[in-house]
Amino acid sequence: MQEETFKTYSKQAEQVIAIKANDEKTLRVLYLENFPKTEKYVLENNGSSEEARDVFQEAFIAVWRNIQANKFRPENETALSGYLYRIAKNKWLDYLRSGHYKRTTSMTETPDVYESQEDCLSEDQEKYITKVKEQFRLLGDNCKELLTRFYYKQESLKKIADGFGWTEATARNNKYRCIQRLRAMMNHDK
Amino acid sequence: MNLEPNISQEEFERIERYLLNEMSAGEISTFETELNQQPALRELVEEHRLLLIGIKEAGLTEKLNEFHQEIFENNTGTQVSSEETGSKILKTYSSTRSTVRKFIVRSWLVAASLILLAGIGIWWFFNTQNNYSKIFADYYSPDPGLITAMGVSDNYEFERAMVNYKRGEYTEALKSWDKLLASNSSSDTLNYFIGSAHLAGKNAEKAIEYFEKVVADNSSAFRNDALWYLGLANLKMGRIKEAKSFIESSDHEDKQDLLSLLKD
Repeated sequence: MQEETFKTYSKQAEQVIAIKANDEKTLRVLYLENFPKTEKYVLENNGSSEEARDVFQEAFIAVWRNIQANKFRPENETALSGYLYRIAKNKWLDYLRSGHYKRTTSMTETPDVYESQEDCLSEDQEKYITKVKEQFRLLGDNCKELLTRFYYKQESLKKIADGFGWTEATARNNKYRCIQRLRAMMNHDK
Repeated sequence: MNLEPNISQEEFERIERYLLNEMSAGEISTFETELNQQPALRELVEEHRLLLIGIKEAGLTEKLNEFHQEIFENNTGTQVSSEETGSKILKTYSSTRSTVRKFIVRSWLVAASLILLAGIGIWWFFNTQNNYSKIFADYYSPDPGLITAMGVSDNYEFERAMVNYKRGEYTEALKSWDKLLASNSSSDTLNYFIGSAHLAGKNAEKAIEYFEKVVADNSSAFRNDALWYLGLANLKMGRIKEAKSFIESSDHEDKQDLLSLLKD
């Protein structure tokens, strides 16, 4: 029995580690397996498939953030999927209640698990991050690729340097330059 | 946030080492003392922390959109390997985009029956033939390719072919690379990507030929990846013994998983 518990735990722990490392295979499975349920919910509640995508991706990023910050530890096999679904559902309910949404609809459900969504970033910080994401898209392709490989894929400078045909020192300098460029864009576009 | 537009590279790297947990305990305590005393440094650290979150999330968002496209732009259906259940389950996501919302329930029924059909198909497959190409399909994903470098480069021909490769135009890529290989026959990069293009283009036999050259070069940066793909290519060809030995030598993250499947 204890062994069984341990097994389940370690499976979940593995998944968390993989998500933290942005392991593509794990993220992909998590996305593809869970999207249909959210989509179904949104479609049944006056939403479109595009709205389902937006709300699901927002929820996905929220879950990912909490995992990165060690704030969510799934307790069993389905905990992560359930958590993702609940957040997506709550976000959709929120949206329906907000001013954006005018169509009449009878909403009997109330959002649950609010506490699990909080990720202790202030509104200002959220705004700043959103802007970083916007500005990041406007960077040159090479900076985007370099920064994504280093920060998101967590590849070593050595590996990145090999990929570009640079020395490690060049890769390091370029990383600094790309960050400087991004900062400049952030400051310029106030 | 109002910040000095410039920080020195040294300062930047120090902050980054702090945020990425690369400092020793001694360094951390020195750094944190400084943080307590210097509001400007605190602000820089905070700025950098948020920048990193933003960059990571931009990377993640891009991936999420890719995953999403897989569901909705792939009319032939896509296969997802699920590790959560322990066994490999296939799901077929048929494209239901054109379906009117009302009929969504109906299309889910269709999807469900497709899954069932796929299930029966797999059962049949597993029971009638070897399952190695299935395992191959589960574990194989093409090498993502190199970043095409900055600005004008003397590797123009190579890089143009790399763009073809990344787009999945393997025959095009191979045309250029084969030409280049004629004058650079020992280039591990060329051999590796020619092998990769063959394997992605479903020609495992050919791929093996090139990956073997890369593997023979102990100093090659591609050696480890080549070992993994060499293993997979052999697996595809049904040469299990060779496959195992190459996979065993690689240090790919899925190595143990795959080896355990090949045990019996």
